[in-house]
Amino acid sequence: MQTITAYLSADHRACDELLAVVEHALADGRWEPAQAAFERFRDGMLHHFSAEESVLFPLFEQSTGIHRGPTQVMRAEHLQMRQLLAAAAAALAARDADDYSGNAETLLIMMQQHNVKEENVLYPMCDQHLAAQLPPLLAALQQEITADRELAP
Amino acid sequence: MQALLSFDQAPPIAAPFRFFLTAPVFALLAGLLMLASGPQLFASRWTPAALALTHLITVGFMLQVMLGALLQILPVVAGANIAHPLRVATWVHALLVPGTLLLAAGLLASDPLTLRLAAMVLALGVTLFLVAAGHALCGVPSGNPTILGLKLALLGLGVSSGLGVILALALDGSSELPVLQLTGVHLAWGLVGWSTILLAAVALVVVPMFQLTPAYPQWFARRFFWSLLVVLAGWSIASLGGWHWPATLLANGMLALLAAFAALTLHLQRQSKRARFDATQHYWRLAMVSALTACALSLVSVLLPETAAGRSLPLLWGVLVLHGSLISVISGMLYKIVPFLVWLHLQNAGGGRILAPNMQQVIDRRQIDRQFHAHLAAFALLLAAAVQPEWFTYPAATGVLLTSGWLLRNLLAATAFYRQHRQRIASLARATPVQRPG
Repeated sequence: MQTITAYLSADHRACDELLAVVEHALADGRWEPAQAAFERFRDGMLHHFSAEESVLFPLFEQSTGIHRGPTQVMRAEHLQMRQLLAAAAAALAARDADDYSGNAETLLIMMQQHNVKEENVLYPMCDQHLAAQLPPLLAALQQEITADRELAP
Repeated sequence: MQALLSFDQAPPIAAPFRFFLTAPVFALLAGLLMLASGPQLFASRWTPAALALTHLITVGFMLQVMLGALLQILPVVAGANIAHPLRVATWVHALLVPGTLLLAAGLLASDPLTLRLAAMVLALGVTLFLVAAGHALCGVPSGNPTILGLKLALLGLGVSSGLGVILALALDGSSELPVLQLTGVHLAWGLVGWSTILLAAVALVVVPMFQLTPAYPQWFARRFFWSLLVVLAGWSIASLGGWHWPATLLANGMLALLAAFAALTLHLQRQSKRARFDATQHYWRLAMVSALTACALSLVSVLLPETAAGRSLPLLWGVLVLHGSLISVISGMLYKIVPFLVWLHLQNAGGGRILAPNMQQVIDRRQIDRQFHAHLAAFALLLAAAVQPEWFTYPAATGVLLTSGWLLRNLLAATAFYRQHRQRIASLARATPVQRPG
């Protein structure tokens, strides 16, 4: 059966790919496709955050009783990434390639070190603690991630 | 389990930065030593100056950065928080610096007393780090290959340092230990058991994630670390026992594993989805190509010991492994870790209300590229000096001074940037009271 670790790690990789698409469009000086690709990337990131914050983290906190542990750190890092997403979006809108690349590089490292913590530590803990509720939980996560609605940045 | 539950923000910036800023100073000392010794240094890998130079690089440069980076990496990758990171960093650093200087001086002067003192101080510093890191990792399951790699690398550091201490005590000539064989085993554990295993453990994470490549195959990631360690241990026993054929066979096995890692990494990097390669990626590529070349040279020396008995081959090998491979990866990683930490700590200082400048503003990209080119030039000159010391020792020494000085300049620029913006953010934060909703 699929695990939380496998499902959400695959979504991390999907977001990475979307970021790479923006980078390629910009390297060729194609601003409009870059902007469209960035929208898809931001959308993917925000839905991933939302799935974790509204479905996974509350369930983890409820089942372990740990409210001020890893989930708190992850929420704080989501906030930092939201700010970097906004800064990168502003740079793209202003067509400032240097500013975009600086913010995107910072975001890439921020999100990757965040992903490592989740994939190596938090998700395996979730798989362990939430084993009994896995099928409905995965369905709920999937619904959040693939939901066709705009999320506030 | 407690470590897993409490993973938190990074340790204070002063903890890793003291290691990062000291490392290039030792590389500068290595360049000065080359200038002072001249072509004589390259007469053989066993000259006092060559031994001192090697340790200025391995202990002075490499170990400093690796320990500093581990303080930062262990909580992120393994959820293993080192207790009191600043205190641990202060003590380990305060022991490593004089210990390395004493070691280089002791090797240079072949002075048993200085060497003994160096061994004690360094052993204390390394043990302190191993106890702190071991305590943090205690209870963290090794299911993930990177976490297993980090644990085995620490074991490698312990074995290599332990053998180093024994050798330092034995160099007064009174001991009946097989010093030559022990040196080979000490070197193998330092370069393979510690450095390569640590590098590979980090590579499993950073190559796919930062260079956007496919992941290392599971079969490789699961088996690599144990295979390398078992073959290394087997080779060490065969080598110390004087069993020639098993030692040759195991040495070839070790080379095959190392070459497989370097080739696989290059293969993955070719599939990177990044649009442009930056200095860090170039550094990684250079490192893997150098490592493959060093493996090929080692194969020659295992299969044709007569040819390898010449003066140049071991020196070329040393340049490829130390400058071409390990210093390259370390420099490339510093250019990601240092700007990111500056950004992270500034961002935290701003409390989410005052945004930090992005990490590409921390060190000017052109300065990073120039330092990379200086590193390449120094590499070419060092290779030439290994073959033709009379002509190339002084130019190579100048190259080493230039590239190390440039690295130090870039890291100091990052530190100055941090200080300047930290002050700006603090005064802005005072001027901007927290807004409460409603």
